[in-house]
Amino acid sequence: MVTLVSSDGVSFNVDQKVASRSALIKNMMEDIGEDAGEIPVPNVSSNVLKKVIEYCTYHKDDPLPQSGEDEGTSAADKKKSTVIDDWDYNFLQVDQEMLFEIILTANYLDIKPLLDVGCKTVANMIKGKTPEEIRRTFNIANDFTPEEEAQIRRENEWAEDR
Amino acid sequence: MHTVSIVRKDPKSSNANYPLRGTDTPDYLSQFHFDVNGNELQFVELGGEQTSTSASLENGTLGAASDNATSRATELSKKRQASCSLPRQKKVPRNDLEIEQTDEQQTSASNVAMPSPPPAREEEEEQQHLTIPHANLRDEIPQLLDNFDDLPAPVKNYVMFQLLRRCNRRNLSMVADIVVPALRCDLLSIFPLELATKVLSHLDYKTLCAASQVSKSWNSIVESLGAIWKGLSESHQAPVTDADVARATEQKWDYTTWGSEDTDPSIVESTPLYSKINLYKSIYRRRHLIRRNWMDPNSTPDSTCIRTGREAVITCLQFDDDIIVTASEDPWINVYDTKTGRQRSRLEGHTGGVWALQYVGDTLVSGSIDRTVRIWNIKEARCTHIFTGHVSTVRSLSILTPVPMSHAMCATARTESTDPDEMYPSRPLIVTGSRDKTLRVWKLPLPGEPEWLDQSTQDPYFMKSLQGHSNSVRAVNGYGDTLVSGSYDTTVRVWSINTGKCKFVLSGHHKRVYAAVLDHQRNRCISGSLDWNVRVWCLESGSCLYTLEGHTSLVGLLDLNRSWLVSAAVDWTLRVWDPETGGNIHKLEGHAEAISCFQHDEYKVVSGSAKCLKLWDIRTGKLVKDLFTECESIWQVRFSGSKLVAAVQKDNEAYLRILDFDYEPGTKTEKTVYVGNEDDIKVEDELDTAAAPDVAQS
Repeated sequence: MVTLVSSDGVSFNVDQKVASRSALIKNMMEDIGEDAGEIPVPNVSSNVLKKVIEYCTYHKDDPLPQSGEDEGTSAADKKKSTVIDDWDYNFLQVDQEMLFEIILTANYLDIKPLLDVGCKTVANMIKGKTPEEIRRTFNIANDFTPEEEAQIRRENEWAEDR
Repeated sequence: MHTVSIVRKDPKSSNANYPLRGTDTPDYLSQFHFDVNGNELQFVELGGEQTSTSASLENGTLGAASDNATSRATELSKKRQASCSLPRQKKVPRNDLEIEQTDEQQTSASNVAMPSPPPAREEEEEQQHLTIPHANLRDEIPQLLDNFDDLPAPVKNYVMFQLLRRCNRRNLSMVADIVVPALRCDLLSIFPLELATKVLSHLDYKTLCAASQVSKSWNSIVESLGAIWKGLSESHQAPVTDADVARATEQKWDYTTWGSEDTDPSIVESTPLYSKINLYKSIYRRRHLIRRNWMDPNSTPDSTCIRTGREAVITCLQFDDDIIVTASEDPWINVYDTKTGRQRSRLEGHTGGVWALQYVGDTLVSGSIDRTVRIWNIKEARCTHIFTGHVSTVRSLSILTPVPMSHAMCATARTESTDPDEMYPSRPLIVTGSRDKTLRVWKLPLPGEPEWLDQSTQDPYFMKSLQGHSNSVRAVNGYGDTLVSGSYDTTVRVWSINTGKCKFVLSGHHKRVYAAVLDHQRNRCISGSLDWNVRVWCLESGSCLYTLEGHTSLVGLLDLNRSWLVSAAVDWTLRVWDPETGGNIHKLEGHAEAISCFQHDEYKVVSGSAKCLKLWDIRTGKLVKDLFTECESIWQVRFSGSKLVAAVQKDNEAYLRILDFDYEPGTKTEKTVYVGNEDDIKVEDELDTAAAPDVAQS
């Protein structure tokens, strides 16, 4: 067992196996040895850390991603669609603030599958939408002048169906 | 460290309309640290003592900082109690808000330190609990809110949670309605760029184009990410080379025009663009529009007609952006310039027709009726090696380039390789198949290695001879260590190049095998035969997985890519199959003679028979258009990128026809250039009405 301590001082006792989903923590535990004791996780508040631990617990027996394959730039990687497994999909049905925090935490703790699935979830929120629909989804103001907007539409006309 | 213990306080109501009422305080809310003016405090919720209303402060006071809040809360609570004792009066506040605010106030106070009995929340009880004086609300609500403001953030969470437990469905719905939209935020703009990139890398070109129109910040993110557009190009189109980037830069490709061959900068400046041009996006756009040109039934490609001045059948054709190489029965190998169509060189040496040819870089390999294999330096137009050994016509050949060891060996033969960079074969090889029933494996001579023109002795590049077939070897195809050969003896043999052993003899066809391709990704092989069938074989077990029936004559041509297997037959049709399941997807009908040549990619099939070159949509199986019809025979066809090259016969003369789909949609009239290569170069620019493509009748 290791104890992860959130930025707001809440302690979470988790299996080493669970904590090892985070490459950062895994490396830390390897460096410090078995008696890792308390590992502070600054910048991550307890409600987010709790979610992330929930993810790591569910996925504790998955094979770990190969370190060499983490660039995500290979053709095979690109080919991968934005299909998300059911449990992960439900797990990430959270508000945008939480989603944002989960992705940042996955990035910080180096939990690649969670980072991937988080990014895919955001991508799915964008996919197939018009600019106006995207603005509504993320509450974004259109800050183009009408002239700029017309120009940019012209620049992207080639991608439209005819 | 000071500890603030709070006794858990459950709402009085047990009404099912309070969805969170029975929810336990989450661990992270029941015990946490917080900070007041630099003093770290520990917050602990003690187990649910329903009746207790006390909160205790251990280790003395909460500290100076919180005194204020505490005392204010105390005061408040007293007031509230006082107010409760006031005579109830008038007005039934049907108004939910008032009730709600009162609850908040009470709960809030209780959590800070001084709990007081929560109000009865049963719907029916509300009636009796209605008389809360306005005077007090007016004071208490602002105070309550002030108190809340003063709470440390983690304590706010706790309080909020306790409030939510006291909310009915309608209250919660109101909260959700306000909270969810409020939490919508411009994720992409607040992400670090690396994460924004990761998100965008999952999108298709259409969505990326929409994304760049969302806002200034989205525009600058999308337009700045070359890697994403490069990745899209490479997974949906073709690799982006330095030459592609150089060309796009030089011709000033952008998002709205076809760029300019002209280097006059004023032309580009006259069309201002909002976005800074991302070259990779401009390359993607260009290729996308070229593909659309290809698939447009009304396309207007420019065409170049190269006269050879000779009659001989063109037997082999390969080209790239720089050169077109043909081989023929006569027995010359000709090299043309792809851009101008002019002949660059002729490779003379074979004493019989050339029936197999392939080049890699500057090295060309040819196999001939004269039983030799020759290696040529294309640039110097010179034969550098003559390989002898075959005792009959060399009918097929394949150059095997090194691939990573992990892909090269089939699973059963894979050795425990520790070096991930190890390649197999360790250098490029040539495999030839002959009418003498054998295959031969040679090392491909590399630039700088000794030449070998002595035909009387065995060359030092020869590696091994693969024997076993009992009739002509008609087709060879290999990848890594695996080689498949199709023979007129009706079998397909599977060889290990490394050991030189035959791993399987695939028997099942009952007539000559004319085509064999290796599906190394699925570890299968596919063969086409004079018995009308196509067979798919498993290279793990050597068994036949599927027999693809449907053709009604010799299946002489087969090709495979990631998604499609295509076969072409003498029965005038082509068939598109699912390489995974062997299912027949389309039958391409329309030719009026045997199919003599074809090529396909993810989107299209181009097929030739006598007199007609057709373009099909591989996804729908429908004819897009006849690319041209005015010729007597079409011997060979290849396409790559924007260009197509066909070897045809017209008026008893061999021609090469080049079609180029690289033009700005809607701007071009088709133009035909004739290039004569026998007498000196004769170029005519004219509109060739005969070459006008027929409109598709699909």
